[in-house]
Amino acid sequence: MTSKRAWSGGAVSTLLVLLFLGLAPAGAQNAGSTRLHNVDANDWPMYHRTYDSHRFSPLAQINKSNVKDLSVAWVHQPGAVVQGLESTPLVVDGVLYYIGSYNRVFALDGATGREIWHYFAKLDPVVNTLFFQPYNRGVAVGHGKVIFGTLDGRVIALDMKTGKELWAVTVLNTKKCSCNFTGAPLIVRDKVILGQTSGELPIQGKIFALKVANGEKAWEFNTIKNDQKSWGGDSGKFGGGGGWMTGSYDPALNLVYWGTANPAPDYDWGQARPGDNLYTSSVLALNPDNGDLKWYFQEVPHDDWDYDAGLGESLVLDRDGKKLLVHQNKSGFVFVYDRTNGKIQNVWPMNHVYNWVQRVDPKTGELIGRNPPRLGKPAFICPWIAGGRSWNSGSYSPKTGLWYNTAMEVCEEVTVEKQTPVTEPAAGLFFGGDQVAKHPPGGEAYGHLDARDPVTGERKWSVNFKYPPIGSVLSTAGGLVVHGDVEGVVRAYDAESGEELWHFRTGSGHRGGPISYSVNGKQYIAVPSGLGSLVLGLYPALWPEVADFPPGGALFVFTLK
Amino acid sequence: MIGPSHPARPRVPGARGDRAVRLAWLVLLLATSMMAPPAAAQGMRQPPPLPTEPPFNLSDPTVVQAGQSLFRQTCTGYCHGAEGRLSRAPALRGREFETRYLYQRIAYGFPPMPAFQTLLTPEDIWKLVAYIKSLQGAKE
Repeated sequence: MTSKRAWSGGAVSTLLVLLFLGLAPAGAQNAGSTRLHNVDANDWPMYHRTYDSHRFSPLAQINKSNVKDLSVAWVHQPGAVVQGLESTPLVVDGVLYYIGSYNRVFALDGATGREIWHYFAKLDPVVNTLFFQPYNRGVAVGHGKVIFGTLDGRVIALDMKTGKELWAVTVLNTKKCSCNFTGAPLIVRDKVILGQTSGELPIQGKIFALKVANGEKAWEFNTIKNDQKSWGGDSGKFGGGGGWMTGSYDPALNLVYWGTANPAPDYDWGQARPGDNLYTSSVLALNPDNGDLKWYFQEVPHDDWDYDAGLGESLVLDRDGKKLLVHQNKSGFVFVYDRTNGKIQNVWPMNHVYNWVQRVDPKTGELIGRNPPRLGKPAFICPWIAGGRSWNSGSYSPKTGLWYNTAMEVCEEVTVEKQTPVTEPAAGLFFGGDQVAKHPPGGEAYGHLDARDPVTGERKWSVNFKYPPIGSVLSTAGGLVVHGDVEGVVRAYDAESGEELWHFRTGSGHRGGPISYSVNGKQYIAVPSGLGSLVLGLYPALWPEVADFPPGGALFVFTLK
Repeated sequence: MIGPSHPARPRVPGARGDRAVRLAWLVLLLATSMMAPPAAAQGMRQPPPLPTEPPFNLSDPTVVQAGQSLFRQTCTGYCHGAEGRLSRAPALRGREFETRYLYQRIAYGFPPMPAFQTLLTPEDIWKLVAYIKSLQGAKE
């Protein structure tokens, strides 16, 4: 007994020493990241608020009974409105951080909107030659830094308090690849992870992890697998892919889930890229420490439609003892995985109108009855190239168990055309065809906001829109769903019934992500307004009046009077 | 003496001291820099030399067809719409444009329209000009 006690005592001492020598410094180093693991109810510290990508705020001061009294607390204008305002703001300790077009970053007092600092990136003129510009979807905060990817291929870290540049590293050769960063990075412990644009370019798209401390590259993952079976001939050299939006993270499994973009060229005129084209249009489960691939699932093998897996959220949720990952493909089909191993649990369609496949096997994820556009006769395809949904995100409320998500019921006519990839002096767009928007057979194109069970797809309520919505969704513990439309109206709905409880006209359409946060005990809802986006360029073919919808850029912040 | 008092600069071929052209250039540059957002203005390139005359007949059907193919490949759907029909960017169909203006707009871009001067050869830009000019008589 005595000896055992002595051993125990020794073990405790050893543990204490270890804690002191090993874990304590690690803990100090990760001080900034603790806020990301245990998110304060008042904060919104990352793109999807939490690692599980729920976009849900646990705040309930603003709720169903008083939302009618919501009014404007303050407005901030980023000053550059080309392609609108596409980002989702972040809030930590009452300070709001957001980014506008041309990588203009602001830190504002969350209660008053007073500017604390701003940082306008000095961009290389190459930006003016790019397709993916000048928008940005968000910054990351952690370890006392604000970190974002730039339009000219760099990653920049600013001091969270002062806005002073701490480091800036060049990750991409934008002058050569015509690729860049437009998505919000994800900070996981001591690393910051982000993916590049490249789905429409004859290059190899990658996902990168940099050290938060100094920007040094920790690892990179090439989304173009080096495998002749997957990419016949030299097609892999021009394979596109990449991972342009933000992934999610499961700390317990230590896995980052990241969706990848489509292969290039978008359309295949026949033997353009023989093979399944791994790892494009796939969901990857990566070890954030070293970039090792734990599992993957290719949602669209040999993607013939530009049905990316790189957009939107990967919902991490547990149900009936199962660890699930819910990920929507751009085709409009929602893939439900066992997130420990990538095994399909269910697949269901968010869209009512589709003909690109007859169906997707809900047990295996296999595409059945593919209908690819081919060289020659123009093909009528649903949904259109903008997707069943664009890159905007839905929101999952653990309170209602419902996922609030949008859909676009629009078709297109695709003309496939053979194209030679251009890589010199710089990469040129590599679509392999063209498309024009069409109404679905027998009806008008439209969009909708649904409340759905994320696992079964069962629909609880829907709200329809003439113009398919392209803004992200917020849900709150106050029983609210907040969402802005293309015409510039933001609305709050009853999360249970879909009844409209409040609306406000912001004057320009919505493409960014609304959030909620609290400062000094007062809850706010911040709504980026400002129409832009490449996708919007597709609308006037069906609705000519959209060409004249006013662009803009303003952050509206609401609170109770 | 700060600079040469005698105009010893070499003559620019094709410029021929045409003050009106140079003035028009200045006005265009000024207007572009005033309209462009600040960050874009910071990144303005030095203007390349004025485009020379097109190396081929712009109404030659093979040139127009080559231009149509290029037009499709450079993102018509997202930008100017198929065959220059209405889109978020200006419709090009059924409109008259001055040839040189079209060339300049394609070469230098205008946010968010990319500048194609480093992505396309002058010949390719002229092919696009030929195609867009072929649309000006289109009725629908």
